Amino acid sequence: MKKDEPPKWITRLIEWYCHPDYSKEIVGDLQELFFKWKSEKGPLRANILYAFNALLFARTYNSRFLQNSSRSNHVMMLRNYFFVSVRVLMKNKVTSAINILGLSLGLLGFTYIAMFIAREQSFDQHHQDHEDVYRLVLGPLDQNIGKYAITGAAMAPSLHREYPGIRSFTRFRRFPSLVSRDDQMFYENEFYFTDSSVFDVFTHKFLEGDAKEALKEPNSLVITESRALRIFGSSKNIVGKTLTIDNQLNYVITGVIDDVEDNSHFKYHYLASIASIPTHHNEPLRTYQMTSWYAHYFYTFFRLEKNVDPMQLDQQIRSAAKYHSDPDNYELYGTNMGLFLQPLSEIHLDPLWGEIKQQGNKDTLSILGIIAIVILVLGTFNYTNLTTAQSIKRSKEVGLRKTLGAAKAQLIHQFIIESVLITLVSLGIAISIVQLTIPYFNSHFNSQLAIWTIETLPILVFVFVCSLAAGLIGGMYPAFIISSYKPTAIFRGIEKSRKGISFRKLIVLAQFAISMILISSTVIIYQQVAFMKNTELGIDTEQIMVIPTNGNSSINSTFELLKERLEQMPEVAQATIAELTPGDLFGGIIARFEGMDKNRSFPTTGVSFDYMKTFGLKLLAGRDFDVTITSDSTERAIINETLAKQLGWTPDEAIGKSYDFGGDNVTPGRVIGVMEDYHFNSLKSPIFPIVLTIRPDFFDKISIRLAGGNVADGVEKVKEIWQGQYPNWPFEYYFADDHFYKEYEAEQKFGGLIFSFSLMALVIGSFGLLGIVLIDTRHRLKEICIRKALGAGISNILKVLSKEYLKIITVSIAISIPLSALFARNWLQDFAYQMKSYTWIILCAPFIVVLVALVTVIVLSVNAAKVNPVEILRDE
Amino acid sequence: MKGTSLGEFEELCLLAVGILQEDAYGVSVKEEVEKHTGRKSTLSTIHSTLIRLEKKGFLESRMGGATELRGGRTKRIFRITSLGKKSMNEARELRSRMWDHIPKILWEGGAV
Repeated sequence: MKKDEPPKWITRLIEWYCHPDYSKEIVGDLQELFFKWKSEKGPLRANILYAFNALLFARTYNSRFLQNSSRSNHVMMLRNYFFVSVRVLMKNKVTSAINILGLSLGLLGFTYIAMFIAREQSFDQHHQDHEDVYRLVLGPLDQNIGKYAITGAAMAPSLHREYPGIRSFTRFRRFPSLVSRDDQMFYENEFYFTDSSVFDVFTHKFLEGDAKEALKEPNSLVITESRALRIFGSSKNIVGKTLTIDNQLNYVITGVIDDVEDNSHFKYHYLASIASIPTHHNEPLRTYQMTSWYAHYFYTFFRLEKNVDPMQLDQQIRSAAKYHSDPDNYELYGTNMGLFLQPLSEIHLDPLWGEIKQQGNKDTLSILGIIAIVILVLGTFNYTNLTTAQSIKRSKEVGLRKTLGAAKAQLIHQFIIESVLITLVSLGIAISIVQLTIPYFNSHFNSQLAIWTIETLPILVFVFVCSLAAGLIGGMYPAFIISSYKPTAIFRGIEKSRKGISFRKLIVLAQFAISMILISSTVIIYQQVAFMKNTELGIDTEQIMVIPTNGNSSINSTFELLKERLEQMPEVAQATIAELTPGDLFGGIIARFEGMDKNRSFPTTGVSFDYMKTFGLKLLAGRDFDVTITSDSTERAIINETLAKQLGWTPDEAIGKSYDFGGDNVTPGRVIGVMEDYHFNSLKSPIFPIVLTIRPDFFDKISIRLAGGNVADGVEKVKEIWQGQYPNWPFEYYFADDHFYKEYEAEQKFGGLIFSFSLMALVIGSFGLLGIVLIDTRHRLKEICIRKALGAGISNILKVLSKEYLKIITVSIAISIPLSALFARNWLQDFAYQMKSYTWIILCAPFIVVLVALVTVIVLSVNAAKVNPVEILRDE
Repeated sequence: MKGTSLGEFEELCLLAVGILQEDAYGVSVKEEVEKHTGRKSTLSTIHSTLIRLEKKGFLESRMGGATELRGGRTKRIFRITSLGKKSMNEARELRSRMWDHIPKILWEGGAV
């Protein structure tokens, strides 16, 4: 029933603006009609008709304001100002439209950015006492700053024991698993092992189960409402049911919680008790990952006591790592890491290495904030500019009002009311456009913005206040200019006051310069992304499909068979299994190469045979891993050129050098090959040293290079073979290049945002120019006609008219170029590999604006120049 | 001052109220007028006309008849006053008087 009702807010609106004597029957009548429309014309049209008819009731005869108001002079004057404003707007349709469109666009951009920024800043703040929650992070002691989000499992319990003030802690170990019940099977990436105290740190509503007890026992599992619905089709009576994990473990559901809010820096759907780890089938997980200070696999959160100074605690725990390990171990780890506390609410905008999902970016927000203000100011300037330019037209009205006794203040009021009215109309338009476009914005920029919610209410109020302020400020200048005209001067005909011209020029200049800067910034961002995408990586990611093994531990022993079957097909060129695929984060492993006196951590990844072939990596010296040589399976390493250089070897020298995996003198190995450098991660970071070794216990991704053109066909064939060999493991895959290009998503999103807003700025700027040229040519019509009468041609007049604008454009180009260059240099600094040269972009981009401006000026000027002099000069 | 004469639309609304008797309120009057004239009219037009007629003294109204469909809101039910009846009659008589003055030949001969 609720859903069938007409839009509530319209009903409330009618009740508000209609006279209370009538509002009840009006709403009742409208509602009756609404249901009739709905059955005849469908819900959409019924809604529109409802809103439209409701608006028609906004007539003066039943408006509460006019009926109840005392008819004091002030009210009457206000009414008069209002009517005059409406009349003026209707009379100058073109300039009003320009004003309103410009301001609407400005407010549109402003509203979107305000909502976006507020959303970004709201992350993780829905938890109770979120200001007491901190994440434990790691960072180099000498830099005194937290850098790595992932910590060791052993840290939290000892810190909790040793330092007072930690109320509770919770650790998260992400462990993508296969969840099944009966014949339903799902790979779940948002599967975590966590402490039973998790619900003391993060607030959740329990639909079923008890927060304190839920995760105490081994093999207990808390799931979210959406997952309960997915598996059981209901969120009731679920506690006590069993889910099978990885086809071999049985976990009992002990609680159902509400879903994690979208504005959280990470999401979980399954929380398994940390007490289940000792019986888990994954060996590294249940052994060293659970006990070590140095194997970093967990996200650790603390909730502090209210009376604790977090800064002080942060200082105290700094060097705890040192005391908790014997000196040898500490040296062995060798990186001199310290512990830091990071406030929960800062994580999203201050992400560290190893975040689970793409987080926000502070710099992006500040750039957007600046753009929001700039766009709003541009729109407001338009109004100021056009109104001032038009003031001469209104001078007779002002003269008359003054003669009849209007005080200057009253005139100022009138013009300000006019500008506020325009702003409010524009705001209405802007908000309606936001309402209409928000689904597209959200899907394009992968965001979850909404306008009519409690969270955005303050934003709407803020936008409203800002637009009122903009209206006031924008109306102020013309108000003072116009109201200062002297009636005697006006009526005597000395009306060509040239006041305000230089100010107007300045505004147009600023608009141009800003449009130019925004456009060259957009081009630079797009070019850099294109450059990164087109650069030869040195590793071939095309036509490679990746199948994550997702906890399927039987793969390691049966992969050879799968590989054989796959490679027999013509559709498959090569198959391999490895720890990482391009774009993944590297973990460091302690090792010592020949000639080093100390252990060091080297980015190392476990691979299997044919890894280099599958990914098209090239050897500079030595050989690839060989399946027929047994020692290759444990004791051999292939390094990249960068590492060889760091160790002071040429590729050929590196071959045969000793290599100690773990740095413990237990597994002596040799370097057997040196690869050409390749980009394993995005071009944002430089190429780092890489060690490849054969490490079966790390494998969790199968990479298959498809041959031939028909990829879809190949995938289908691979699926058949997979299902034949692993019937209990659903077939899921992604493409290596898609995965890799995800690294550029943030830049692309940012580029898209800047592009939209620079387009807005350009349109606002051209609206402004259009208005100014329009008014200017109208003022100079007589001059043009006299020139024509005296024999000037169209081209001649064009020159006269556009001379002034050409000057403005030239100056704005001169201003924009160095500022664009500054932006480009700063923004590109974050990229290890930058596009070759951006000078041409900075030099050429302004001409897009120039083109738009010239077309505007020329079209209008030609129109003016075509006027027949007789028609204009007849009156003289 | 408000005039006491009836406009065309006002007359239509009055007639509709007369037809509907005890069930004359915004929506029903709108439908009645639309049914007979075939012209679309908006609710606000009907509403303002009825209120105007009430102010002129041709209609009187009372509240009543809340239904579920209306979200429990009452209707304003209109009735023609004796003044209203009088002015309707006047309008009708005026018309027939004027009809009588049209020359028969001109009309029936179709010369116009």
